[in-house]
Parts: sequence; structure tokens; C-alpha cells
Amino acid sequence: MESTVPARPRRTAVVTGAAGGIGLECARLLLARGDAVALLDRDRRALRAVTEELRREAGDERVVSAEVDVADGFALREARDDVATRLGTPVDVVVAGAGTMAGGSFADGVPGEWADMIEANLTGMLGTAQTFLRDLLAAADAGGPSDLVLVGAIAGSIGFPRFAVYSAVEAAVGQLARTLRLELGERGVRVHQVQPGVTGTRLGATMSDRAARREWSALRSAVPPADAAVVARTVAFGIDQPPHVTIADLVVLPTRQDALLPTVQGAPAPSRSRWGAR
Amino acid sequence: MGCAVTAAPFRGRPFGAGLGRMGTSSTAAAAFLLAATLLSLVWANLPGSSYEAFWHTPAEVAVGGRAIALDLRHWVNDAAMAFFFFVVSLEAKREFAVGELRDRRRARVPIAAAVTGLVVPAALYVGVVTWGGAPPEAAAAWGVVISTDTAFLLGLLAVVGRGAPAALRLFLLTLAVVDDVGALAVVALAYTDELRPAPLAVAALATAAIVVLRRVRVWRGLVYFLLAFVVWFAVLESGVHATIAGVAIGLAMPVYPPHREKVEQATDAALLFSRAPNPRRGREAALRIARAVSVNERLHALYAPYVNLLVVPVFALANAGVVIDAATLRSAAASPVTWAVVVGLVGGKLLGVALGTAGAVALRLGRLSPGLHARHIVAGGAISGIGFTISLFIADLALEDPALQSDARIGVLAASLLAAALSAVVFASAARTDRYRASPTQALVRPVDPGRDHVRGEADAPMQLVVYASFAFRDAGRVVETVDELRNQLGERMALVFRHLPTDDPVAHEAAQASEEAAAQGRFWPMHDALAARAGRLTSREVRRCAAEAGLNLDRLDDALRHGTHVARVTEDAVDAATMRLPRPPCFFVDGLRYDGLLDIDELRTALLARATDHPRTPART
Repeated sequence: MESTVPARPRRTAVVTGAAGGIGLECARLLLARGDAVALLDRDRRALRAVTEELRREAGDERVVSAEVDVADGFALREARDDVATRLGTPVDVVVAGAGTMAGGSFADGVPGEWADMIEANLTGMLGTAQTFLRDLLAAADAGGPSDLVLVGAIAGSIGFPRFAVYSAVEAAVGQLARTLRLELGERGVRVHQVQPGVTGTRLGATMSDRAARREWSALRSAVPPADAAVVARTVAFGIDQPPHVTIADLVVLPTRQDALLPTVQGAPAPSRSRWGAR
Repeated sequence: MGCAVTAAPFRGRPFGAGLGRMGTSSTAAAAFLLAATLLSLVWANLPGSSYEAFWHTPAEVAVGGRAIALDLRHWVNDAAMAFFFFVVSLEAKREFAVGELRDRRRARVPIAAAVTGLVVPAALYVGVVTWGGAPPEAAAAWGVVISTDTAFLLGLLAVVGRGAPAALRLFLLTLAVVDDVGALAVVALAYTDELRPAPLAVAALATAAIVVLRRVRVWRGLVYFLLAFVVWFAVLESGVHATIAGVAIGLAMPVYPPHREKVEQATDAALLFSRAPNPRRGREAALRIARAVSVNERLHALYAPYVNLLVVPVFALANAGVVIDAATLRSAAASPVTWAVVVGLVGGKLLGVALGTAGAVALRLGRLSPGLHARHIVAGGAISGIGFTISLFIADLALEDPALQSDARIGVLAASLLAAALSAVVFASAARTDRYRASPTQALVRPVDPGRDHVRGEADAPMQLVVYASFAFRDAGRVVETVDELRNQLGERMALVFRHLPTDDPVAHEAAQASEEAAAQGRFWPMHDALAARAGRLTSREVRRCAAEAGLNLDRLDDALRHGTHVARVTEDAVDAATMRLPRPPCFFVDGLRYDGLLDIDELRTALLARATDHPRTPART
């Protein structure tokens, strides 16, 4: 049968957390499909390396980068202006992929680490969403697709012992997505929430609690993690749908994860429920 | 052993003035000991036998029908020396619980050296005695050669070891604590004649009663004193050496760093008193202040001066007096016991300490502090050969025959003199080699290690500035401003490495430890910045406020400060700084070489840029 899929429009995307993990894979995939991508991250060295690599593959005009800490509202604003000048085309996809993870028992938790997580994962996401909102609304008003992709985690929907603050923050992201879907949906902006389970990225590599770090890497060896590239494909799938259809929640889990941790709130805990998700 | 001196030279806790201070000053204790020894020698060699007659005078304490009858010498050796053992065991417990020996990993090398330093002398002694054909009971006196006299060690170290690295003093003090523990164990276990279990059970019960009374917070000193006497008497009757009573009670005393709440209560009570000075409030304030410090440390502060300046010199007076004339010297020269003591102490200690250190380092149990070389360890081993107090103590314990005792005592005196002379020579030689090997510009003794150091910036940055600083001195603010400005100007081309050089102020130590706990929680630099913002105006409370600002878990911080978790890490930096003889903070090292210029941003930048072009940095290996 002949395929009657209409030609996919060329998108202009802003990806935060683009120097690694899910953000990087999203950027890579979008570039490979012919879209233009602005890479935002706060790690200067990694960002520089990644930008060079992607420019070699995709050319200089479609790849733009800016060193931005998403918690810094002013830097986001400047980045927005910068991206608009350099990319030329209006932004119609925003992938908020910046985030960190830290764990440990709540009693021993370090408040500064929690604050960093809340800043990067939640405050940063709020800043990102709001900063580029006008561009997204303009794209929706012009009749084309307009997508806000919030990368959260399955941890926000389940009990994740010893990662209490992280899962609280991700739950906040989930609720944000839910509400924004209502608020922005009527304006034509689609809000997707991606909730990955354990994914093969460097997330959690810098947490200060040694026991939690060990627990996390034990989980990653026990459950073959999902690839970040797969998560990027689901993001691409979501943004490719016709503008009047939203794939609201994209939950991407390693197949074996359920055996170690219930992914549904209230399911009976299996015998070795010492690990968490994402 | 020989001196009950605190084994924590870098703690920086201000001690009380007056007699208390003199009591814990090692030089004063050594001087008193030396004076008493000389006096006893003069007295013993006076015509007539007044010395022996005096010390053999029987003195009896009788209550009703029961009596304790000992001669004066044994009243000193069995009763007064119990206080000495008490203070020593208080110190040992404190060092193991909250002091230098708390982090056993870092102290592995001196611990190993101390253990071999106990075993090798004893082995040598037994060897020489058996080979020399001495009477069988002489072999039992192997305990004479095992322990070093800490008072003389520290006193002599202050004189001949002035040029030696500061790390050596810390090494020897740590070694001395373990050495003391070993000697205590030997006295308790090896020199028990016949064990009578019933009195021993009574002693155990009385000790338990002391612990229980502590738990239920009975404060009347008299009760403890009575119970202590019961323990002492029971141990005396049980066949174990009576001084072990002192050890048992010393170990039963709890040791802990002051609880912040207790200190605050004490401050409140003192404040209350200042508003309405009356006897009741005064007593309440005094009690609360006293109770804020652990029992161990309170008792130590109370008894150590008397022990160091009275008990030990009296012991020397009672035991060191040996008749030195042609006859005794000839007998001693012919006696294998004397030679065994000399070989055991002088040779055995040196060999033991050197071999133990070499073995520990070779087996990778630990490393020597930077700046400490083999020649320093050999010097340390030589000076450890001064066994005096405990050697005389065990000589009296182990040998019955007066001739053998005299031989042993002469051996101890000779060994101590010989060890002192030998150590003077070895230290002088080591100092000469140190001077010869010294580089013109002072270099960092410990290279920057990203796994251990606090680095701000990339570890492989072309310019590297190491600063030894404290958080609590007057100019700290200016230092931080200068360094921050440098970082702004040089950006990611400069890496800043922070190391501790705490001033004597206890808040400086507390801030240093707090910053290490911040590092453990992954937030060293936020804590550093918060402390730096309050530079020069730090108090204990402000340190906690800074910690909260830096986002630390305050409960974990309190736990770490209370348990002294990071004392060893801060001490490591402080010892390195002392080894490099750094003056007051701050001290800068540009690219590993000491920067002697002014604290001026342009000069520092010039120095950094100059060295950067010379030495492109290779990425640091972890």
C-alpha cells in the first residue's frame, strides 16, 4: 500500500540538557531528520564537544549552542534572543531535558543537593517553558505544530524509597505537565510528558551519597536500562503526530524494571524492592 | 611511658593557665623527673644505707582488724602509681575515641611501628639473657625493655629534634599511645603471680558500680573515691598488680566532645549568674560548665599535673637510686641482664620502630607523611630507646633478687643515657642531610591530588594556586577577595586548591572540620564561600549558620564535629604545613613552589602567568 503520510514539516527545536543523556539523543535524532536544533546546557566543555560533533554531521546552519544554566532566568532570556537571531526560523519544539538526580535516606539528605535538584529539574523547567512560550504560542497561532516536551521520570508516579526528594520533584513535573496541557492545549500548544524508567545516561553519577550511588548502579546492572536513543524516538513520535492529536504521556520502561520495582502506585512490593526507577 | 602528656599536638585546644598548663608541659615534667632521678642517685650513693632503709620502711594502714602493710617503695609503686596508670589510660582512651587514633586507617604505620617496637626489644632481651646464661628468673624481666618513657622522649625531642619535621613529633606521639597500651597490657597480664578470682570479681563489681553511678548521674566525688579505693584494694588482693585498678577505672570513664546543648546550657547558666550573682546560681553555673566537658577530660585536667610533677618524680626518687661503685659496676658489666637491657632498649627499639615502619609501608598499610624520610624514622627509633619509668617499674615487679634488680637498674640508666646520646647524633646527622637536600625555593611536600584535595576549576588547568589558609583569622576576608578576583580574571585557566592551616583558635578548627564535612556532603565550595563571607567574625554559631546557607545537613554536621570524624584530615594538612614550616596563614604555592610575595592581585597574577608558560600541566592522575 502506498504511504499517504504528508510530508513532515521542518521543525526548529530548543533542547535543554543537550550535552548528554536524553537531551543529546533528542538533538541528534532531530538533526538527523533535518530539523534545526539549539543546544542548551550548563557544562561548557561537554557542550562544546557535542556541538562540534553535531556540526560536523549536520552542518553549521542547523546547529546552534548556548551555555545556559536553566535555573538562571536571565541567561535563558538571552539564549532565546540569541537562538532567534542565529537560527532564523521560529522555535516550535522545546524539549526540557535538563535535570539532575540525587538520592540517599531522607534523614541524611543534604538540603543543598535538594535545592540544586529542585532548581535544575523544576525551576529550570518552569523557566524554560515560560521563556519559549511566546514562540510556541506564535507557532500554534500560525496553524503549525507546536510542542512542549517535559522530560520527567517514572519516579514521579511511584514510591521510590531513598530517592524521596527526586521523586517529589518529578511528581511536580508531572502535575505541571497535566495542568499546562489544559491551559496551553486550548491555544494549540501540545504538552507531552516523557516518563522514562531506568535509562542509560550519566544521570545520578554525581550524587554525594555513596550508598545511594551504589544502589543506583546496582539497579542499572540488574535491569538492562532503556537506551536514551529509544526515548528520543518516542519524543519524535509524539511531535510527529498531526497537530490536533497529543500523545500526552510517554512512559518508556526497561522491560525488566517491573520485576524489581512496582511502577504502579500501590502494587504489592516484590521481594527485592530496594531499587528505584529511571 | 613516664609522662601523662596529651598526644594531640595539633588540636589547638587552649588549656587552662597556671599549674594545669605546667602540668601538661612535657619539658617541665621531664625536668622534674630528671631532678628526682639525680637526687635519688645522690641519695643512694651517700655513705650508709639510708636510701634503702628509708624506702623499705614498712607503713601500715589498719582499719579494725584488717590492715594493708607495704613498705614505702611499694606504697609508691602500687598505690601512687595507680594514679599514673589512671591518667595514662584516660589519655589512651581519649586518643582512640576522639583523637589521633580514631581514624585507625591513617595511623596504621605508627601503630605497626609501635607493635614491632614492643616485640623486638623483648625478643632481643630474652635472646641476650639466654645466650649469656643468666639465672632463669632474669628472662621474666623482658617487660623492662618494651616501653618508652614519654616524658623524657618529649623533653629530649624538644632539644635534639628541633630541626626534625613536625610530622615526626606526631608520629612519635601516636606511637607512644600504642606503646603505653601495650605496656599496660603486659603489666596486667604478664606479671600476675597467682590469680585469686574472688577479689578480682569484687574489683570488677566495684568498677561496674562506678560505671552505673556515672549513668545515673551521681556527681558526688566522694562516692567515686570510695569505690575507687575498693577497686584498688580488691585488685591488690587478687594478685594482679594493684595499679591495674587505675587502668580499669580510667577506661570506665566516658569520653566525648562537648555537646553543643550542654555548652549552651552552661553559657545560659553563667549568664543567669552574671545577672544575679548569688551562691546558688554560681554553683549551678560552675556545675554546668564542668559537666559540659567529658568526665575523661575533666579528670585528666585534674590529675595530670599532680601525676606529672609529683607522682612520677617521687617514683623515680624511690626506684632510680642504685648504688654506683666499683663493685656494682663490675657486677653489672659481667651480668647478662644489664647487657640485655641495654641491647633491648637501645638496639631493640631502634630496630623495632624502623622495621615496623618499613614493613608497614612496604605492605602498603599506609604511607609516611610527606617530609618524613627513613633517616627521621631511625632517629625516632633511637630516641624511643629511653625507657625509664616503666622499665624501672617492671624491674621492681619482675625481679626479686636484689643483685639482679641492681643490674637491671644500672642497665636502664645506662640504656637511657646511651639512647639519649645516640639520638642526639642521629638527629644531628638527619638535620645535616635535610639541609643538604633542601631545595632553594620551598616546594609543596604533598602534590595536588584531585582525589583528596579541594580543587576549584579543572584539575588540569595550566595555572595552579594552592592556598594554605584558615577561615577564622583577621585578614581572611582580604585573602578571599584577592583569590576571587584572580579567579574572575583568569577564568578556567586557573585551578584553586584549598588546604587547611588552622590558627590556634578553636573556632578555626571547628570551621575547618565543618568544611571537611561539607566536602563529604558534596558542598565544600559553597561552605567555603559562606565561611569566607563571614571571615574574621566566626563563632561556633556562625559556622552552623554558614553550613545552613551552604545547604548542609546540620544533624550530620553536628555528628561529625562531635565524633571528630574529620580531625585526622585537617591534621594532615596542618602537619604538612608544619613540616614546611609555614608561618601564619595564608600561604600560597604557585605551581607547587612557595610564593613569597605580597598578597596583591597583580603580583600573584604575574607569578601565576610566569609559571604557566614554563610548565604546561599534564592531567593529574587519580
